[in-house]
Formats: sequence, C-alpha cells, structure tokens
Amino acid sequence: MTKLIVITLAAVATVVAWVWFRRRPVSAKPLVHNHRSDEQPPHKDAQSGRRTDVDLHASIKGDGRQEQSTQTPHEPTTEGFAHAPSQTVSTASEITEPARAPIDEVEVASSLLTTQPLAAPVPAVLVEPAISPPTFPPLIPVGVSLLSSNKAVSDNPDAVVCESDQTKPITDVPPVGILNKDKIVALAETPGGEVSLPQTTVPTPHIDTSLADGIVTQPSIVDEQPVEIPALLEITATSQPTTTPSPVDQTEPATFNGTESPPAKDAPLSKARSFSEPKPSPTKKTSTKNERKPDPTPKTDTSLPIRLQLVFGRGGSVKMLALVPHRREGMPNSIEVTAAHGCLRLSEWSADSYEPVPVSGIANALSEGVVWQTLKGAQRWRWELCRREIYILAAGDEFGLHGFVTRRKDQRLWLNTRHVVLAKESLREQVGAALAEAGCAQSEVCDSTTPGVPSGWVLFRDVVPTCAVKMRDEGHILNVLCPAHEIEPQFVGGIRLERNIWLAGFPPRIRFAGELGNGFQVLIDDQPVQLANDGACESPGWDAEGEHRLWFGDRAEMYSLCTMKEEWDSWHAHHFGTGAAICGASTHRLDGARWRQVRVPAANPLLVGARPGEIFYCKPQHDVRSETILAMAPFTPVWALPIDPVHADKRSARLVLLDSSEPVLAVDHSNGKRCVTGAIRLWVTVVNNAGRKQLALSVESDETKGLWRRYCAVAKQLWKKTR
Amino acid sequence: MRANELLLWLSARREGSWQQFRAVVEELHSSENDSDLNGDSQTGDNEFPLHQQLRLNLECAAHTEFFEHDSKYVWRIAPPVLAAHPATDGFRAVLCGARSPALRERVLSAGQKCDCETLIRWDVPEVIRLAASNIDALSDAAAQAHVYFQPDASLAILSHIRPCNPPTRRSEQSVFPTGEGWRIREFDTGTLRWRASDRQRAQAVRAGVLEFSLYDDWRYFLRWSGGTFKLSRAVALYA
Repeated sequence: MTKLIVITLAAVATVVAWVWFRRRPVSAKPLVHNHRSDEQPPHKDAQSGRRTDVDLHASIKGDGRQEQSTQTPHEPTTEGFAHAPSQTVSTASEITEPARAPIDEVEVASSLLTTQPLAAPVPAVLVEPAISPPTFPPLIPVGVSLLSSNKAVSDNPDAVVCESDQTKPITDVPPVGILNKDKIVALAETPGGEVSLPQTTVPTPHIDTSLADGIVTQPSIVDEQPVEIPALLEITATSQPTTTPSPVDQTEPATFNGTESPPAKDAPLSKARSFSEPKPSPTKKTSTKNERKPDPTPKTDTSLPIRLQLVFGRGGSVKMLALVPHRREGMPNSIEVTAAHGCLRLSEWSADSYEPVPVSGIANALSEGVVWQTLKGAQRWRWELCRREIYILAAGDEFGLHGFVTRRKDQRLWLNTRHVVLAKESLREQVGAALAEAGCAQSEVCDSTTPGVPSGWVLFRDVVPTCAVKMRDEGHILNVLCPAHEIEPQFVGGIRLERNIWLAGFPPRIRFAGELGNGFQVLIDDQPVQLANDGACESPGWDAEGEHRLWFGDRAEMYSLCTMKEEWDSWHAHHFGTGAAICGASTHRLDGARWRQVRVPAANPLLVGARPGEIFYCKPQHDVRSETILAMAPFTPVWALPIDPVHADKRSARLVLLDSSEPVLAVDHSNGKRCVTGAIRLWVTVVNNAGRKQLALSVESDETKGLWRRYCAVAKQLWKKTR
Repeated sequence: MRANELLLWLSARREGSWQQFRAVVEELHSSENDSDLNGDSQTGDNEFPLHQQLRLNLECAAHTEFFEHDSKYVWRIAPPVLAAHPATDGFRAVLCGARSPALRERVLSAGQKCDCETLIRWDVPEVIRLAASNIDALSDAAAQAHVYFQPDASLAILSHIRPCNPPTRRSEQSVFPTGEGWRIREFDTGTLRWRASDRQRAQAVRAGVLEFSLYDDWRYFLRWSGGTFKLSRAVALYA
C-alpha cells in the first residue's frame, strides 16, 4: 500500500511537474549571457551612439535577438524553437536558416566595414577602437549606418537614395528590413498561413549579402524599387578612416545613444521621404587627407568686374567714358548680356577684357552702378560696376588699355603713379584736400561744364600722389585717396609679344609704384640699376636679347627680349580664277610655277619665246584701262607680236623685242603631245607670217634685226621639216 | 608714332585674330609716348576709329591682309616685297609687307645706290621708297636686301583680280534720299578727294560716286549711264 501511495504520489508529482513544465510561462533568455539584452548598452560609447568594431560585428550577429528582446519580449526565443512543434520548427527553420547562413556573410561584411574606412559624411553610428566588451545595440543603427554612409551614394548622380541629411535624427530613418517589406513578408509566411514577423533574422542578411558582393541593393524609398549603388564600400573605404570621430558624433551626440527605442514592430512605417537632390553635408570637415577632391566642374555662377575707361579728347575734353567688362580665359568670344535697359553684345577685346562699351547716361551708371548678366547653359556670368562716389583711374598703359582705367582689385591711389580721380561734385572740397594731403601737386579740376564730364561729377587730372597717408576709419569714403604703399613693378611700353616677352630693341620701361624707401634696392641680372631720366630702371645690358631677372625687395620677376625671325611665307590671300594669287604687293601662280611677268603694248599681246612652241596670248582685261598689258607667261618671252600679223597694219604694227635670247632649233618632243606639235606649228606660222609681212621692229638696231632674221630662219627651217 | 611699332608687332606675330589686332592697337596707342600724356587720342580726320584707320592703311600699303577664315576675322602679315611701278622719271619701288629692324636697315643700305627716301605719317608705317631711272637698279637693290622684287606691282594686282562689271540696265536702281539737311559730296577722280556738291549737280552727274550724309546716316550712290545705284560704304570708299 505504501508502495502504491508512493507510486501514485510520484506519478502525480510527475504529472504535475510535466503539466507545470508544459504550462510554465516563457521567459526571455538572452542568447549571450554576459549582457542583459533588455538593458541599455552599458558602455559609454554605446550611450553616445558610437560603437567599436567588435560592437558592430557583434551587433550584427546578435541584432535579431536584441531587437526581439527590446521590442517583443514575449516572443519565443531561439531556444523555444527547439521545443516547438514540428510544424513550428520547420517554420522556424525556414526563418532561421536564412538568418544563420548569412550571418557568416554578415561577418564578412562587417569585417569589411570595420577594416576599411567608411564613407564621409560619417555615419551616425561609428566607430572607435575596440576596447570595451561587445554590446548589442539594436539592428536599426546598423542598417542606418550602412545607409547613412550615403555621401558616397549621393555622389553618384544616378543613384536615387534616401536623404543624406545627417542632422536628421537617425531614428527617422526606417530600418532597412522594414523598408523592404515585400521581402519580409515573403520570408515570414509560414506554411500554415500564419504570418509572423521574423524580426530576428530577416532584414540584415539580405542587405549584408549584397554588401559582401560590393554592391548595395538599397530600396528606393519613393517607389520601393531596388536601386543599385555600385561599390559603396570601395568608395567609402577611401573616404573616412575608422578611427576618426564622427563630426556628427561631436555635434549631435544625442542623435542615437541607445536610450531611444527603435520603432516598435507594430509601429507604422515611417513615412517615405520623397527624393531630394543630394545636398552637401553641413558637417564640418575634420580631415583633408584621402578625402574626395572637390568637383572639378566649373562654377555655375561667376561674378566679374567692370572697369571704367576714360579717354581724353583734344582740348582737355573727355572723349569717351566706357565700361570694360572683364573676361576670363575660356569665356566666349562673343556673348549677349542683359542690362537694365535691354541686351547688348560683348565682343572679345583682349585676353582679359571684352570690348569697351560706351554708355549713355554715364552719370547714372556711376552713381547707381551697373549690372550685366547672362546665362549660358548652366553657367551664369554677372558683371558689376559697384556704385561709388569716387573712382580712381590709373594710366591704362599698365593694363594695355588706352586712356585711364579703374584697376580690377586695388581701387586706391598708388604712390608715384599718375591717376585721374572722378568724384561726386559734393565731394569736391574733401577730395581736393585729401589729394593735397597725399602730396599731389595742384591738379586740374574739370566739372560738368567740360565736354564729356558727367553731370554732377568732377574730374581731377594729373593726380600723382607722392606720400603715403594713413587710412581713415574703416569704410571711410576717402580711404581710396590714401595711397597704397605696396611696391609693384610696372612694365610700360615697348613692343610686347607675349606676356613677359618683348621685341629686342623695343624693351619696356621698368618703373615701380609704391613707397620706395631709401634702402630700396633693385637689381637687373644681379646688377644695380640706375634711374633714367624718365624714372625707369636701367642697368648694363638690361635691354639685350635674352632673359633678364628683375630683383627687388625679396621678389623677382623675369622678362625676355627676343629678336624677330624673318620667316614670312607667301600664301594665296586673294585669287580670282586667273591662275594667280595676290598676297600683299606680290602676285604668284597658284600652282607654284615660276611664270615670268611681262608687260607688253596692248597691240602686241602675242608672246613668242626662244624655243619653238613657246607662244602665249595675253588676254587684255576689259575693265583695266591701260596702254600696256601685264601678263604672266610660262616661258621667257622674246618677242611680242600683233595678234594677227598677216592682217596687221603695216604702218603702225611693230615687233617688240623683250629679251635677247637666241632661237633654239631643237624641238622638244619629250612629251609627244599633239598640243606641242600644234604649238610648234603655231609658233612657226606666227613668226613666218610676221616675217613675210615685214613688220617693223620697235627698236631698229642691227642686233635686233639680226636676231629677228635668225628667228625667221629657224621658223622657215621648221616649216620645211613639217611639210 | 605707333604705326611702325604696330607693323613690327604684326611682323613678329605673323598672324592673329582681329581682336588681337585691336588690342595691340590699344596697347601701343596707350603708351605714354603718345603726343598727349593725358591719353588724348589722335585719330586723323576721325573718319574711322583708330584701329580701323590703321587697318586700312596697313592694307593699302600691302603690309597686312585682313580676311575671314573659319568664320573668324583674322589678319596675316604679307611677306616683304619691294613693289615697283613706273614713274614719270623712271621707276619707283616701295617696301611693303613684313618688316624687321634688320630688314629695314638692309633696304636702306641697298637703297643708297638709288634715290632712297622715307616718308613718315603718324598713322601709317614709315614708307621706304626707292627711285631709279632703270628698273634693274631697283631689282638689284631688292636682291641685295634679300627682298622679293615685284615689278609693275599695281598693274599686276589689277591684272589678277576679277573684272569689275558696271551696273546694267537690269540692275536695281535707287534714288537719292529726299529731305533737307543732307550734305552731298562727289568724289573727284582727279584729286582723289571728296568735293562738295548739291542735289542738282548730283542728278546731272553722268558717271561718278556721290555721298549723302545726315548726322550719322551715310549713303553712297554710283551714277552710271544716267542711272543711280546704291553702293555700300566700303565699296564706295575703297573700291
């Protein structure tokens, strides 16, 4: 009986224990026991949103559990799967299998992440040398860290990605796995039709597999279509060392510090952000090494100055006041700009300026300023003449311009340099006093009664400041009349062939502007200079051919003098179908043959050479009134005959001797063409006819008569041969 | 006197763009060695801007060719030529084309055997002219200076240009501008200058070129066989 009771109690206890075991409440157990997953990461770095390499690695490994423990504490753990019914187990295996296998890939990916630098701007969740034990931050920051390293992504103009605004809290960025909803659902469907959210495993492997391949397949937020971002890791690898603290971390440590819980699983999906153009990150630059070079594409908005040019006319009048727009290298030769009162076209004037534009109503332009602008493609240019009440114009020879012009940069007076000052009428007294203070001799003042001077303005001519004046208060209007003391060399005049090359024999005059102290030393080719009568610097051999070195203070400038090479070729400048071209004052054959130019009386256009067959007809030009004909013949003409000797008027027609060459009996049959034979027959016929006609010679002399007789003899001889 | 330096610059650079030409005219003219230290611009009779006047003078003296190439207006220096032509007392030759200081010295040296003279005008490069009773003397001087010799230069050029066809009856005729205030001038082929005229005389001209100007409006007409034909300014002035 006792045995029975014991057995019964044991059975009851067993049943109770079994029932208790089956019905006991499920408690969450962390996979890794050295940390409580439901606690906040104890490490201060994790609290500040930073993680170490190991943290990152470990977080990817254990992220699913971490997420589960923080979000769904009542869900079964992975241990529970082992005891789940077979159907559940199979479902779980379907879920967990993809999670386990990619974990290795995740490790690979994370090792890539940790051994190679990440992209700039720095992800919000990064990275410090691993010292502390691994912690398990949630999954979300990992996904965010991958996505938020999208500076490299945004550098790809074709990539459509989420915003890279790092000032935005990271919690705003939905987890990657949640973004890819279709994939999640597909993986979470159980055979039994139940749908569970396998937060533990699904999202991360899917992304990291792609990362391991070097390509991130990132879902587009807008249309949820995958967008390929090639070689993100390679780009990020050169961008940011892992040891560099994130500026974001410095500026916004609370962006993610682990205290905020990731969105709950049943929380509504974050609203998809619409695509916006990639914007430059507002974060501060902390590193210049290995960072990407700035975009080499040209600026899209360029501001350029307008110079004021003044040219005096005769009698002290102002002949022209014009605006000279600045031009940079590569700008169009001709460009249409929009001004206040319409459009105007600017044409290239020199390498650094467009053609001066005379302006009507210059007084208003001076008072109000001038703005021109144009847009060509993505490039916008804007020229501006800032309104001033005092304009300082320096002699234009320094800048290769006529008259006087405003400088591009330093608008002040320069010492020992000639200027013209254009000032408002109301400032006349003040300007006069300031100029006197600057050591300017009494300068001529022209008001608006002088032709060309704008109304309401006065012009001070021959302003040459000789002493430096201390600047007044900042922004004082008369500061421009305080001469600059900086020493600058000026190469004036000569024949400049290139920027610093002049023609030998025509060197520039070398002067200096600025405050030249007593100890100011100038050397040319290491020899001290002497001041010439005009104040220019000269030294022995300073103007000899070759390269010269001008040294002053602690600066040096080079200039060269070179001789001219007499290599001028003729070319076909003008040709009008006559077989000859005109170039300058010379004429020459288009085919390069050396024809002889001959001038004959208009009545003797038939040219005969010494060799039978050399016969040429000079066609007179009807629009050139001349008693003579100028022609080019392919041979040296000896005789000029009337066009038809047989029917020529014997009283007036003459035979003109052009050259004293003897006739050549030998006939050249080298080419054997019929035309040659025809030319020989024509030559023979013309000479015979002129001989039979007994035309008179223009110059009757024994030599001429004898020469003509010999030509006639040759013609007769040939005529007999050709019969 | 900047035209000489301009010619040297052109000779050294050999060719370039119209803008470069204009810029160098500006640069050379801006030099303080000009007569007026205050930048007073001397542009002759002010018929044209300075750069245009210099360009025309350089073309007339056959130093430089200005033409259009690849839709750009460019210039190119012509090779140096001693261009000869008959004169009343023999022959005369003018140095045209490119010039270097050394070339100038050679020509002046060779010209000592002839009658050599130099003419200086402020807007024209120095004219170096040789004269001789025999053209062979000029040819020898050219050979001595290593310069190409071009006999009968002017006639040679005329002989190689396209014939100029006068207007026919089928050509479109024009009429003189009406209204008051027009200044009327007729070109005198004898003196090669414009002389004042009036509307009545202009209508009576049988053959000639007439200029009508009113402020900035300049119009040119050719009278030919009793008809009136409009001419472009360039053709009327320099054809």
